[in-house]
Amino acid sequence: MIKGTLYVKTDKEWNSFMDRLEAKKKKRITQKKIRFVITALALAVAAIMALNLKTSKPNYLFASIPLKNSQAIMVEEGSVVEISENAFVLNTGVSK
Amino acid sequence: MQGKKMASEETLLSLLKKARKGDDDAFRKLVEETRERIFGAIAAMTQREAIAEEILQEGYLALWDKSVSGDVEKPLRWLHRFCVNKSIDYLRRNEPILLENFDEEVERLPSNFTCPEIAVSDSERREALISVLQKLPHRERITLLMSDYLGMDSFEIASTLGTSPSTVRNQISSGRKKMLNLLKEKKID
Repeated sequence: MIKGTLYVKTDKEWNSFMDRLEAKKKKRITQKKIRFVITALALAVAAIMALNLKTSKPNYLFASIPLKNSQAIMVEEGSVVEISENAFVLNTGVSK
Repeated sequence: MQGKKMASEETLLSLLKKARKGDDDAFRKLVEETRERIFGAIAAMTQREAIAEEILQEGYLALWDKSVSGDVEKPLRWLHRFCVNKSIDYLRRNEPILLENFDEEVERLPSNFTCPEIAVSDSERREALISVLQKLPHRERITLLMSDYLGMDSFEIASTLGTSPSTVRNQISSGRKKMLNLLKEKKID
């Protein structure tokens, strides 16, 4: 058996070793946090996309109103819709 | 000068568990308890102190990071294996010609061959021993350091090196004999 220490380092040298080790450890912790955030974000995006795919888009009924005697229509909010065609197509907001 | 006694595996495991939970003091204590002897072994194996520091630091970070090392039961043994394997990897990359096949037969010595205890008591003996170790072939130096400096048994060494315990025992005996002869030449007993 070889008793004793083969390579002797001074306290200063060991302190430098420990400082570098601590710096590497902190860097690894930061890398882990970044990896965790990226993974969480990727999962969240994937979940949102999956939910969007599952939600069926509403299929609204449209009403076509023939226009014969007027050039403009007053809507509830008070704005005027100029008519260039002879029909006004209205989204009823009611799903099929 | 004698090296300080290393903490038990139980103590080291307790420190490792605390360190993994974010206890920086426990991590520091774990390193302080183990670094000296492992560093000595790696530096003697690789013959490069800067490389030995890098390997040792990599070993501590891997041990601390559960995603790398998993559930470790014996931290010291784990560190020994990790650092020895990294040292061999380094030697294979950088000195492939000098690193002979570990399975190669070496001089067979009587099974009752014993080696006297070698105490590294002062800087003169230390330098002499380091220079003698550097003269040994890589495979004998590595097995000898694993056995006589890190205190690993032949089964553990064989499992780390991927060879048989009998080959390891032969390499240790052969290494010891060469080391003692070289020390005698230097008039160090």
